[in-house]
Amino acid sequence: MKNLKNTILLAMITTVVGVYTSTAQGKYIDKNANIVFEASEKLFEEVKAETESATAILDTETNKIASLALVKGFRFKNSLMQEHFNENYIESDTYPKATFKGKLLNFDSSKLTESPSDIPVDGTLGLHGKEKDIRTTLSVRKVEDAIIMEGGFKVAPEDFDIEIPKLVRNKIAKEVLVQINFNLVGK
Amino acid sequence: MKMQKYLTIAFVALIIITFASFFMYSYMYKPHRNVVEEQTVAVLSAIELQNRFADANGSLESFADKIIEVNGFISNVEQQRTIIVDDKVQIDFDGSSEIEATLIKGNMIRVKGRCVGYDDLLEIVKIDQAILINNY
Repeated sequence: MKNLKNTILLAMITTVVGVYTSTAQGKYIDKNANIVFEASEKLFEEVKAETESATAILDTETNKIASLALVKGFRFKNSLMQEHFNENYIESDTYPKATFKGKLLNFDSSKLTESPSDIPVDGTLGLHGKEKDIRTTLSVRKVEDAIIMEGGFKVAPEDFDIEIPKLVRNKIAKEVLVQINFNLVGK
Repeated sequence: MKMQKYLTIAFVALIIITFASFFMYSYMYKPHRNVVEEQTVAVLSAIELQNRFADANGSLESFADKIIEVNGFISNVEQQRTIIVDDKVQIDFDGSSEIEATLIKGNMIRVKGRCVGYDDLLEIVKIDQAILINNY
Protein backbone atom coordinates (compact mmCIF):
# COMPACT_ATOMS: atom_id res chain seq x y z
CA MET A 1 0.00 0.00 0.00
CA LYS A 2 2.80 2.33 1.00
CA ASN A 3 4.60 1.32 -2.13
CA LEU A 4 1.61 2.29 -4.27
CA LYS A 5 1.41 5.65 -2.52
CA ASN A 6 5.05 6.27 -3.25
CA THR A 7 4.60 5.31 -6.88
CA ILE A 8 1.69 7.71 -7.26
CA LEU A 9 3.65 10.46 -5.53
CA LEU A 10 6.64 9.80 -7.77
CA ALA A 11 4.42 9.87 -10.85
CA MET A 12 2.93 13.17 -9.73
CA ILE A 13 6.33 14.69 -9.12
CA THR A 14 7.56 13.49 -12.48
CA THR A 15 4.54 15.04 -14.18
CA VAL A 16 4.99 18.36 -12.41
CA VAL A 17 8.72 18.46 -13.13
CA GLY A 18 8.03 17.36 -16.70
CA VAL A 19 5.51 20.16 -17.24
CA TYR A 20 7.94 22.70 -15.83
CA THR A 21 10.84 21.60 -18.00
CA SER A 22 8.68 21.51 -21.09
CA THR A 23 7.52 25.10 -20.52
CA ALA A 24 11.09 26.09 -19.72
CA GLN A 25 12.18 24.62 -23.03
CA GLY A 26 9.76 26.91 -24.82
CA LYS A 27 11.79 29.94 -23.81
CA TYR A 28 14.67 31.15 -25.90
CA ILE A 29 16.80 33.94 -24.50
CA ASP A 30 19.54 36.19 -25.82
CA LYS A 31 21.29 38.24 -23.15
CA ASN A 32 23.66 39.83 -25.65
CA ALA A 33 21.17 40.82 -28.27
CA ASN A 34 22.62 43.07 -30.94
CA ILE A 35 20.70 46.18 -32.01
CA VAL A 36 22.02 48.84 -34.36
CA PHE A 37 20.32 52.05 -35.38
CA GLU A 38 21.44 54.44 -38.03
CA ALA A 39 20.25 57.89 -39.09
CA SER A 40 23.17 58.95 -41.26
CA GLU A 41 22.88 61.48 -44.03
CA LYS A 42 25.17 61.48 -47.04
CA LEU A 43 28.20 63.79 -46.79
CA PHE A 44 27.75 64.19 -43.03
CA GLU A 45 29.25 62.34 -40.13
CA GLU A 46 27.87 58.89 -39.46
CA VAL A 47 24.99 58.84 -36.96
CA LYS A 48 25.03 55.27 -35.83
CA ALA A 49 24.95 53.42 -32.53
CA GLU A 50 25.12 49.82 -31.47
CA THR A 51 24.42 47.77 -28.38
CA GLU A 52 25.58 44.24 -27.69
CA SER A 53 23.83 43.92 -24.37
CA ALA A 54 20.12 44.07 -25.08
CA THR A 55 17.82 41.28 -23.94
CA ALA A 56 15.48 39.28 -26.14
CA ILE A 57 13.10 36.52 -25.07
CA LEU A 58 11.06 34.32 -27.39
CA ASP A 59 8.39 32.00 -26.10
CA THR A 60 7.95 29.32 -28.76
CA GLU A 61 4.66 28.16 -27.24
CA THR A 62 2.84 31.46 -27.46
CA ASN A 63 5.15 32.87 -30.20
CA LYS A 64 5.47 36.04 -28.15
CA ILE A 65 8.66 38.00 -28.32
CA ALA A 66 9.90 40.60 -25.86
CA SER A 67 13.02 42.68 -26.07
CA LEU A 68 14.56 45.29 -23.85
CA ALA A 69 17.51 47.56 -24.58
CA LEU A 70 18.96 49.91 -22.02
CA VAL A 71 19.40 53.17 -23.88
CA LYS A 72 22.68 53.96 -22.16
CA GLY A 73 24.04 50.74 -23.58
CA PHE A 74 24.06 52.19 -27.10
CA ARG A 75 27.52 53.25 -28.14
CA PHE A 76 28.44 55.76 -30.82
CA LYS A 77 31.81 56.23 -32.46
CA ASN A 78 31.71 59.88 -31.47
CA SER A 79 31.46 60.35 -27.71
CA LEU A 80 29.97 63.86 -27.97
CA MET A 81 27.23 62.50 -30.21
CA GLN A 82 26.57 59.80 -27.62
CA GLU A 83 26.36 62.44 -24.90
CA HIS A 84 23.92 64.58 -26.90
CA PHE A 85 21.85 61.53 -27.80
CA ASN A 86 21.50 60.59 -24.13
CA GLU A 87 21.01 64.05 -22.68
CA ASN A 88 19.12 66.02 -25.32
CA TYR A 89 17.30 63.62 -27.62
CA ILE A 90 16.38 60.35 -25.97
CA GLU A 91 16.72 61.68 -22.38
CA SER A 92 17.97 58.39 -21.02
CA ASP A 93 17.94 59.51 -17.39
CA THR A 94 14.16 59.89 -17.55
CA TYR A 95 13.51 57.12 -20.08
CA PRO A 96 16.21 54.50 -19.57
CA LYS A 97 14.59 51.71 -21.58
CA ALA A 98 13.59 50.88 -25.11
CA THR A 99 11.22 47.94 -25.32
CA PHE A 100 9.60 45.82 -27.97
CA LYS A 101 6.69 43.51 -27.29
CA GLY A 102 5.21 41.54 -30.09
CA LYS A 103 4.13 38.32 -31.66
CA LEU A 104 5.46 36.20 -34.50
CA LEU A 105 2.66 35.42 -36.94
CA ASN A 106 2.22 32.02 -38.60
CA PHE A 107 5.24 30.77 -36.74
CA ASP A 108 6.01 27.21 -35.75
CA SER A 109 9.40 26.78 -34.12
CA SER A 110 9.41 23.03 -34.78
CA LYS A 111 9.39 23.69 -38.53
CA LEU A 112 12.47 25.90 -38.45
CA THR A 113 15.46 24.83 -40.49
CA GLU A 114 18.93 26.15 -41.16
CA SER A 115 17.71 27.97 -44.22
CA PRO A 116 16.04 31.21 -43.17
CA SER A 117 12.30 31.72 -43.43
CA ASP A 118 10.55 35.08 -43.43
CA ILE A 119 8.28 35.54 -40.46
CA PRO A 120 5.95 38.55 -40.09
CA VAL A 121 6.01 40.22 -36.68
CA ASP A 122 3.45 42.48 -35.10
CA GLY A 123 4.34 44.49 -32.05
CA THR A 124 4.82 47.71 -30.16
CA LEU A 125 8.01 49.65 -29.79
CA GLY A 126 8.24 51.79 -26.69
CA LEU A 127 10.81 54.49 -26.06
CA HIS A 128 11.03 58.04 -24.78
CA GLY A 129 7.72 57.45 -22.98
CA LYS A 130 5.85 56.85 -26.24
CA GLU A 131 4.65 53.76 -28.05
CA LYS A 132 4.32 52.90 -31.69
CA ASP A 133 3.02 49.86 -33.53
CA ILE A 134 5.60 48.15 -35.65
CA ARG A 135 5.00 45.60 -38.36
CA THR A 136 7.96 44.01 -40.05
CA THR A 137 9.36 40.76 -41.33
CA LEU A 138 12.19 38.92 -39.69
CA SER A 139 14.44 36.31 -41.17
CA VAL A 140 14.42 33.37 -38.78
CA ARG A 141 16.51 30.21 -38.83
CA LYS A 142 17.68 27.52 -36.50
CA VAL A 143 21.33 26.69 -36.00
CA GLU A 144 21.87 23.76 -33.64
CA ASP A 145 20.01 24.75 -30.45
CA ALA A 146 19.79 28.44 -31.18
CA ILE A 147 17.13 30.42 -33.01
CA ILE A 148 18.63 33.27 -35.00
CA MET A 149 16.54 36.28 -35.92
CA GLU A 150 17.59 39.10 -38.18
CA GLY A 151 15.72 42.03 -39.56
CA GLY A 152 14.95 45.67 -39.31
CA PHE A 153 12.40 48.40 -39.49
CA LYS A 154 12.21 52.15 -39.85
CA VAL A 155 10.97 54.69 -37.34
CA ALA A 156 10.87 58.46 -37.26
CA PRO A 157 12.05 60.54 -34.28
CA GLU A 158 8.77 62.50 -34.22
CA ASP A 159 6.84 59.26 -33.65
CA PHE A 160 8.36 59.30 -30.20
CA ASP A 161 8.22 63.05 -29.62
CA ILE A 162 11.96 63.40 -30.07
CA GLU A 163 12.71 66.85 -31.32
CA ILE A 164 15.75 67.41 -33.53
CA PRO A 165 17.04 71.00 -33.32
CA LYS A 166 17.13 73.01 -36.56
CA LEU A 167 20.89 73.33 -36.41
CA VAL A 168 21.50 69.63 -36.92
CA ARG A 169 18.31 68.70 -38.76
CA ASN A 170 19.97 68.19 -42.12
CA LYS A 171 22.68 66.02 -40.59
CA ILE A 172 20.24 63.48 -39.16
CA ALA A 173 18.06 61.35 -41.43
CA LYS A 174 14.28 61.72 -41.18
CA GLU A 175 13.96 57.97 -40.88
CA VAL A 176 15.99 55.91 -38.48
CA LEU A 177 16.82 52.39 -39.57
CA VAL A 178 16.82 49.91 -36.71
CA GLN A 179 18.45 46.55 -37.25
CA ILE A 180 18.28 43.62 -34.91
CA ASN A 181 20.30 40.46 -34.64
CA PHE A 182 19.17 37.99 -32.00
CA ASN A 183 20.85 34.73 -31.17
CA LEU A 184 18.32 33.06 -28.91
CA VAL A 185 19.38 30.06 -26.90
CA GLY A 186 16.94 27.61 -25.34
CA LYS A 187 16.63 27.74 -21.58
CA MET B 1 56.12 99.16 -43.45
CA LYS B 2 52.46 98.64 -44.34
CA MET B 3 53.30 95.23 -45.73
CA GLN B 4 54.82 94.19 -42.45
CA LYS B 5 51.69 95.24 -40.56
CA TYR B 6 49.52 93.09 -42.81
CA LEU B 7 51.85 90.17 -42.35
CA THR B 8 51.68 90.50 -38.55
CA ILE B 9 47.87 90.58 -38.62
CA ALA B 10 47.77 87.57 -40.92
CA PHE B 11 50.17 85.72 -38.69
CA VAL B 12 48.19 86.44 -35.51
CA ALA B 13 44.95 85.46 -37.26
CA LEU B 14 46.50 82.21 -38.37
CA ILE B 15 47.56 81.36 -34.82
CA ILE B 16 44.08 82.16 -33.48
CA ILE B 17 42.40 80.04 -36.15
CA THR B 18 44.75 77.15 -35.48
CA PHE B 19 44.03 77.24 -31.76
CA ALA B 20 40.30 77.67 -32.25
CA SER B 21 40.05 74.74 -34.62
CA PHE B 22 42.20 72.64 -32.34
CA PHE B 23 39.84 73.29 -29.41
CA MET B 24 36.78 72.74 -31.60
CA TYR B 25 38.18 69.46 -32.80
CA SER B 26 39.11 68.19 -29.35
CA TYR B 27 35.64 69.14 -28.09
CA MET B 28 33.82 67.45 -30.95
CA TYR B 29 36.00 64.36 -30.97
CA LYS B 30 36.80 64.00 -27.31
CA PRO B 31 37.64 60.45 -26.27
CA HIS B 32 35.13 58.04 -24.75
CA ARG B 33 35.06 57.52 -21.00
CA ASN B 34 37.91 55.50 -19.65
CA VAL B 35 36.68 52.98 -17.08
CA VAL B 36 40.23 52.18 -15.95
CA GLU B 37 41.00 55.76 -15.00
CA GLU B 38 37.64 56.89 -13.71
CA GLN B 39 36.91 56.90 -9.98
CA THR B 40 34.58 54.24 -8.61
CA VAL B 41 31.49 55.76 -6.97
CA ALA B 42 30.49 52.64 -5.04
CA VAL B 43 31.71 49.16 -4.11
CA LEU B 44 28.99 46.60 -3.45
CA SER B 45 27.97 43.00 -3.89
CA ALA B 46 25.99 41.83 -6.90
CA ILE B 47 23.02 40.93 -4.70
CA GLU B 48 23.04 44.31 -2.99
CA LEU B 49 23.21 46.10 -6.34
CA GLN B 50 20.27 44.17 -7.77
CA ASN B 51 18.23 44.81 -4.62
CA ARG B 52 18.83 48.54 -4.87
CA PHE B 53 17.44 48.57 -8.39
CA ALA B 54 14.66 46.08 -7.81
CA ASP B 55 13.06 47.59 -4.66
CA ALA B 56 13.73 51.26 -4.30
CA ASN B 57 11.79 53.24 -6.85
CA GLY B 58 13.21 56.50 -5.53
CA SER B 59 16.87 55.75 -6.08
CA LEU B 60 16.01 53.70 -9.14
CA GLU B 61 18.59 54.97 -11.56
CA SER B 62 21.09 56.23 -9.03
CA PHE B 63 23.87 53.99 -10.27
CA ALA B 64 23.00 54.15 -13.95
CA ASP B 65 25.92 55.36 -16.05
CA LYS B 66 28.19 55.38 -12.99
CA ILE B 67 31.43 53.48 -12.56
CA ILE B 68 31.05 50.88 -9.84
CA GLU B 69 32.84 47.87 -8.41
CA VAL B 70 30.88 44.68 -7.93
CA ASN B 71 31.79 41.40 -6.30
CA GLY B 72 30.15 37.99 -6.16
CA PHE B 73 30.26 34.43 -7.40
CA ILE B 74 30.12 33.62 -11.09
CA SER B 75 26.83 31.79 -11.55
CA ASN B 76 27.13 31.40 -15.30
CA VAL B 77 29.65 31.99 -18.05
CA GLU B 78 27.67 32.97 -21.13
CA GLN B 79 28.99 33.04 -24.66
CA GLN B 80 31.44 35.71 -25.80
CA ARG B 81 32.72 37.81 -22.93
CA THR B 82 29.70 37.82 -20.70
CA ILE B 83 29.22 36.40 -17.22
CA ILE B 84 26.36 36.37 -14.75
CA VAL B 85 27.20 37.02 -11.12
CA ASP B 86 24.97 35.50 -8.41
CA ASP B 87 22.12 35.36 -11.00
CA LYS B 88 21.66 39.08 -10.33
CA VAL B 89 24.14 41.02 -12.42
CA GLN B 90 25.24 40.59 -16.01
CA ILE B 91 28.77 41.70 -16.74
CA ASP B 92 30.03 42.39 -20.24
CA PHE B 93 33.77 42.68 -20.34
CA ASP B 94 35.54 45.34 -22.30
CA GLY B 95 36.36 44.18 -25.81
CA SER B 96 40.08 44.78 -25.49
CA SER B 97 40.84 42.70 -22.40
CA GLU B 98 41.75 39.03 -22.67
CA ILE B 99 40.09 37.21 -19.82
CA GLU B 100 37.74 34.49 -21.03
CA ALA B 101 39.88 31.47 -20.17
CA THR B 102 40.21 32.36 -16.51
CA LEU B 103 36.52 32.82 -15.79
CA ILE B 104 35.12 29.69 -14.23
CA LYS B 105 31.65 29.11 -12.82
CA GLY B 106 31.79 29.29 -9.02
CA ASN B 107 34.78 31.63 -8.91
CA MET B 108 34.55 34.66 -6.69
CA ILE B 109 35.28 37.77 -8.68
CA ARG B 110 35.49 41.51 -8.39
CA VAL B 111 35.05 43.74 -11.42
CA LYS B 112 34.94 47.41 -12.19
CA GLY B 113 32.63 48.64 -14.90
CA ARG B 114 29.93 51.00 -16.01
CA CYS B 115 26.45 50.31 -14.67
CA VAL B 116 24.06 50.47 -17.65
CA GLY B 117 20.81 50.02 -15.75
CA TYR B 118 18.16 47.54 -14.70
CA ASP B 119 16.74 44.99 -17.08
CA ASP B 120 13.27 44.16 -15.76
CA LEU B 121 12.69 41.37 -18.30
CA LEU B 122 15.40 39.23 -16.73
CA GLU B 123 15.42 41.13 -13.43
CA ILE B 124 19.14 41.67 -13.58
CA VAL B 125 21.40 44.70 -13.51
CA LYS B 126 23.66 45.13 -16.53
CA ILE B 127 27.24 46.32 -16.41
CA ASP B 128 29.37 46.91 -19.48
CA GLN B 129 32.94 47.94 -20.32
CA ALA B 130 34.00 45.88 -17.33
CA ILE B 131 37.55 45.14 -16.31
CA LEU B 132 38.57 42.30 -14.06
CA ILE B 133 40.07 43.28 -10.72
CA ASN B 134 40.14 39.99 -8.85
CA ASN B 135 39.35 36.42 -9.77
CA TYR B 136 39.80 33.63 -7.25
